[in-house]
Amino acid sequence: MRGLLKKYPLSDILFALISFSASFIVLSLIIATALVLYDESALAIHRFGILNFIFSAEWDPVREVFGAASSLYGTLVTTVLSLLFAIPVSIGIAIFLTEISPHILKTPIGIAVEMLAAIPSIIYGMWGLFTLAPIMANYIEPFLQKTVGKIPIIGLLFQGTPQGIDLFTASVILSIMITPFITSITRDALNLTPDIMKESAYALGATKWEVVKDVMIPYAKLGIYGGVVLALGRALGETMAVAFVLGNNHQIPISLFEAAATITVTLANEFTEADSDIYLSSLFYLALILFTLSFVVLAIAKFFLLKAERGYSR
Amino acid sequence: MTEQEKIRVEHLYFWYAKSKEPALKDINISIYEKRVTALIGPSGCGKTTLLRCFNRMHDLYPENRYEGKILLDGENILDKDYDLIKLRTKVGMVFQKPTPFPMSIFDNVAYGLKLRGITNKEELQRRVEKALRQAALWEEVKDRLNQPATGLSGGQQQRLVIARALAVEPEVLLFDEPTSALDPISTAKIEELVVQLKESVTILIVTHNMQQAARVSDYTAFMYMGELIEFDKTDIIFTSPKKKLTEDYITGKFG
Amino acid sequence: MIYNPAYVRRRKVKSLIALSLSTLAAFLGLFWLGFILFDVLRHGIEGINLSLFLEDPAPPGIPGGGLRNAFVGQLLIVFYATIIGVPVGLLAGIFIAEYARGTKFARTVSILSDIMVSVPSIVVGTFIYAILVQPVGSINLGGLIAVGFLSAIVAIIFGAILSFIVNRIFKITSEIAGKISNITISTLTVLFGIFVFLILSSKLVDKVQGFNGWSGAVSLAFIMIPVVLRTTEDMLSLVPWTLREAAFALGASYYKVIKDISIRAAITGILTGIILSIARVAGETAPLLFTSFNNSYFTTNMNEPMSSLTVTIFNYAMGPYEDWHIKAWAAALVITIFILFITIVSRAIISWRYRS
Repeated sequence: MRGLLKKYPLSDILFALISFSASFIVLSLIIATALVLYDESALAIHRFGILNFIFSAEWDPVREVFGAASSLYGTLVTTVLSLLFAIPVSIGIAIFLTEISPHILKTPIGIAVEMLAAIPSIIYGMWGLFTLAPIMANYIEPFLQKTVGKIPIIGLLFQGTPQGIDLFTASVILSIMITPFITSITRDALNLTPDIMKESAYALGATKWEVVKDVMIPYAKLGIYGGVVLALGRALGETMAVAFVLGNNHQIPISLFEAAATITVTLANEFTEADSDIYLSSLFYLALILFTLSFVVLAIAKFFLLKAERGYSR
Repeated sequence: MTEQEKIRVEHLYFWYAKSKEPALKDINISIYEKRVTALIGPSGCGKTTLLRCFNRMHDLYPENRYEGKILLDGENILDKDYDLIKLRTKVGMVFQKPTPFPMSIFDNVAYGLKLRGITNKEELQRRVEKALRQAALWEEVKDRLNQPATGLSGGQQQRLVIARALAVEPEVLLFDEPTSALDPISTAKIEELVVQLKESVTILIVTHNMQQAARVSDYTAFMYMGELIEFDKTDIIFTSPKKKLTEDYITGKFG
Repeated sequence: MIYNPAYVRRRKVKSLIALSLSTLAAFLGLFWLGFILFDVLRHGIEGINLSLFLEDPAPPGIPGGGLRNAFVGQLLIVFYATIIGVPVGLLAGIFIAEYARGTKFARTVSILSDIMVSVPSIVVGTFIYAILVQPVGSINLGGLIAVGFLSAIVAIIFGAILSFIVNRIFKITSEIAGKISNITISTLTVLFGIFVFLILSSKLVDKVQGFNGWSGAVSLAFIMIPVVLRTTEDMLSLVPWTLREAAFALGASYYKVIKDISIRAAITGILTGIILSIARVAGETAPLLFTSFNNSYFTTNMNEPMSSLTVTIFNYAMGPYEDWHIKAWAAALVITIFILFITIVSRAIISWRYRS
């Protein structure tokens, strides 16, 4: 200690210690989150088990029987559907920004995409409830029923009375929310394609689209995967944008035009109303599952993005 | 030896976007069929800029401007209506650095063929093999055609890119300092290849290496500050240039 | 030459279609943005008036009143979140970008903070609920932490002023006098900090009785920390190492180098990052739902449930009254303008500062 004091001034040691404890807080916070969530859900884990909880569709606060299946189903459907909507649009925007847009339009459209990312999710949710849901119920959903709804089997997805408060509307809102994330990562990845690579495809007589499809997108593949998986994480954990338009109904509907629940919506609506220990513990259990899911998703995204980074620097 | 004119450049001027000063000034030159023509000159002299005019690579970037004529088989390729895909079908290009696409070795060579609508498997196979043989790469890669092209060495990648360009049977091939990123052994292989290839195609090669120009080319054009200073048979340029400036560059007084 | 004009034409048409679709996608994005902003503006402007900011809510169902409680609550919660989140994120970022640069520890913290960013905000809410709302009867740790950071900041400002004054009045030249004055100032600063902490904590922090404003502030700070940390780390790593070496060569201590070289070089980026992180948490709703909860009365007491704009928007928009909907839109407009303004200005500053 005295050697240390001689070598470094006191101010240096103090500052290093203080800043070290700050970074230690980060470390301990994330561990504490996992431990606390586990501790709080221990009661429910003990009573319902793991697989049993995940696959049980029953959610009955009165009888105090809880299963995560309905919430997980809603989370899964809205996430997958929103990615389906968002991926083509985002990649399209990214292609427009990197290859098509005239120089003067690049900055304004880039800013617009960032603004879309900055709008708080509660605004999306509210807009979804008051503006999008009626449009869905009155125009888009009846239209879909009249067209694709007539196809056997696929038509099952579009059954029921269009209310606008359903899985479909929630997915559309989510897709608008995650579009900017996929777009900006895809754009950055596409921009990393060396000019000389594009030029040599053009020199072979490729059209612009062929250059994008055959050279740029394969080149940016890993970055795009990373962006998509990151967006998936956001969609999984998003609460407010879907809470308004999903209806919080614990069921597993086949039709996309039915109300449902996601983990986040269940938490938002029921957490403050949980009147028994096992009810609250089950909700913590849901939170723990969501925490684990988003952790896994992040790990996958990191894997792709790190691999992509290494690939580019080579 | 009768010389057939393949390309004729007449009063060519070229401006990069937002630049008032032309990067190429009043270029007049003839490129002869099935000969190797080397473009030499100090860096920034416009040799690469000129080369990229022959397949209108400059069109990829907005606001670049040409003036004058480049006649390929008598047709002006700078004409607004001239189809760029057709032009690039006739005129292939090889760049400073190897540019294998992110796909397998086979697919790299077959890429240009597929763009031209050839889907027949056997024909593809036949043409890919022929191109790889022409590029003296076949023996080295025939057992791993389905592996990614990025696994090849730099010299192999550059020969792969040449095979890719050859597969579509171009009439003219442009080389932009093709050996600048390669080791001496790979460089020698590429040079050998260039000399062999002139049996079937017309070749233009940009090089900063005068010995290379002397070794591979039949004709040499010396450029300086965007102008064509002297153009003649290679041995004349290197033994008895007519202009003082050419002589000074050849003898290493500047550059 | 292999050339098939008809096939080339087909490829060109295909390319044109694909590129048109991409362009369409870009305009679809613009359309959504325009649609949302236009709607928020159109509905929100209706409810904007002075009483929205100056009056408290009227009883449910009765028109009139305002959202003063929510505005003040939001400001307080975000203020305390900043007080906690910025120092922790900043210091941790400095530690891993400077002292621990390139070490395993730095990489671990970096990855952990990415995990923290990815934790769904509603899960943050449940975690903070478990530690700061559920333990009824124990002293509010969140409050103590917030007040602790506040006192430290006040004390540092006090110390800076004190040393400025001392240096002005006494022209200190000898080394020993300098040391003595430094030690005195430091001691006074620490004592002042403790004094402020004791007073503030006895006045502001109470025992947990359920939902409280402190827990809301802490959950927003949880979200803020990793964002500030990563920006600080990124901005500091952009500062060239040679700049620091030049200072080391003059015999400066690492603390001095960080203070006078690294931070100074990266300050624009760090400040913009901090402001962006404030904008980011100002729009958060989910973590406040079970922490600060809601309060239809005006309060500045952080130990009570506290109203925030975002939670109010949620409750009002889901509520049955037309007047509530108008107020929710108005609050949405205020928040949107605030966040978009900050975002655009910060982006502009960053792109102006880091143009190269």
